[in-house]
Amino acid sequence: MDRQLIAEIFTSALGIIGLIFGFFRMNTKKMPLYFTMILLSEFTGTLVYLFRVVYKICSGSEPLTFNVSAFAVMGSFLFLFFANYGEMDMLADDKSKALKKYRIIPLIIVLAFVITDIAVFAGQNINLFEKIIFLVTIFVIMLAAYYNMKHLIIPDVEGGIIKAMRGYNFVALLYEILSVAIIFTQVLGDSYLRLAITPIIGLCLLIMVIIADREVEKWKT
Amino acid sequence: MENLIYVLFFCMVIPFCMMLIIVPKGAKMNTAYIIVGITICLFISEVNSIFMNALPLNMFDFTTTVSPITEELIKYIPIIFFIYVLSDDKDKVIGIAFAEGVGFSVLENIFITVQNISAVSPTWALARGISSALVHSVTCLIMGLGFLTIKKKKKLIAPGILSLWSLAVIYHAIFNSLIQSKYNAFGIALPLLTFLPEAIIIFRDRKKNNKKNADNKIAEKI
Repeated sequence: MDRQLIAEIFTSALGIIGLIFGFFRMNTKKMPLYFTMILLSEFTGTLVYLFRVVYKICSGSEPLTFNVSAFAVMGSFLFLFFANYGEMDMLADDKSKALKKYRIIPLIIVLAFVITDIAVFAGQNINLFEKIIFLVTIFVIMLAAYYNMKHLIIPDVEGGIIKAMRGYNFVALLYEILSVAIIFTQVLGDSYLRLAITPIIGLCLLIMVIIADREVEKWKT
Repeated sequence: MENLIYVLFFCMVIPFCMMLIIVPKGAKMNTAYIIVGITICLFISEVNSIFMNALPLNMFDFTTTVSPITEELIKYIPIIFFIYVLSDDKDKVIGIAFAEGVGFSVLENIFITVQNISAVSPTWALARGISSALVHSVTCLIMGLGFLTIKKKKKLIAPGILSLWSLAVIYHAIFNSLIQSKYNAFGIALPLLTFLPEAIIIFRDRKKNNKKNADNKIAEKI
């Protein structure tokens, strides 16, 4: 069994543990929509790796460069975007001038993604269709990363709900950065880096749900 | 037989259409969505055959890469239509989503059975009946209930639709990979394992709502 497959099995297993944990939490307590969206993101993210594992085991070969997991990666980050932009941002940001700098600073992460994109994609001989899929995926990750970064630095509001979610936002941001990095390893064909990143993503998926659950609990206290 | 799927389609849809006339109002929508599911299956078979001829993919790659995308996309449209135009009642959405998935899988199963008539067995049919019906219904439920939740956030409808669809697509692709391999027992287990938690949540919510309604009625009487 190749090492990458073992890493992907490990990631899927951690993702499934996180999913079961999240499901039981949702079943025992009334959780906000914010948590549901994080759990759905984790679920979709887990299925990305589970699909790769299942495909490799069932067909005995690597999935095609374009496969359904590309959509699922986008879906996973759209759920995170949904959670932060749709659920939290209106509470965190009242659109006042005082918070302007907190809207600008997170653009650093977007800029970093763009610069790395250009550096990685320039000179690489990949076909246009794959390039478009990769870039659209990175764009979606950027959207989610912007809001996670913003909620990591923005001042707290009454009730402490923004401060309470800092841990989750940090892990989600790490998950986003690593997911972009894994796309870059695909473009560059760097299998060692890919092997190193894959299990860390699994840990992020698991920790994201556990931390989100604990931090959402703080809203009630 | 070239038009086999059309023959099967008419054999199934016409009785359901007659049933639609006679069933009480409460059951009409579910019956209609069984017909919708069957019709979608027919439509998708045509769409998939176009892609199959156009793309240089073998059957395994096609069913794990292309068909989940087309199937989930087209299955999603009637559910969105129902929630937007007809009703956003949770129980009704559960009913029509499940009916659509069942309708889809019924025609799909019969078509596959007739095509492989010499190879099929009652055990195969039992496994296929459970797994295929559940996988199509579970994906419809995911999309239906998910859309019902995100519908409240108007500005996020587009990303919400896309993310729910992608979730259904990858789930379907995993099922298709497993069911065609020697690990097909896992393929049967997957929809069962995902259906059970969904069913638990639905029953729990229904029980809560019934209790709430009963309490409200008592309060009104008092």
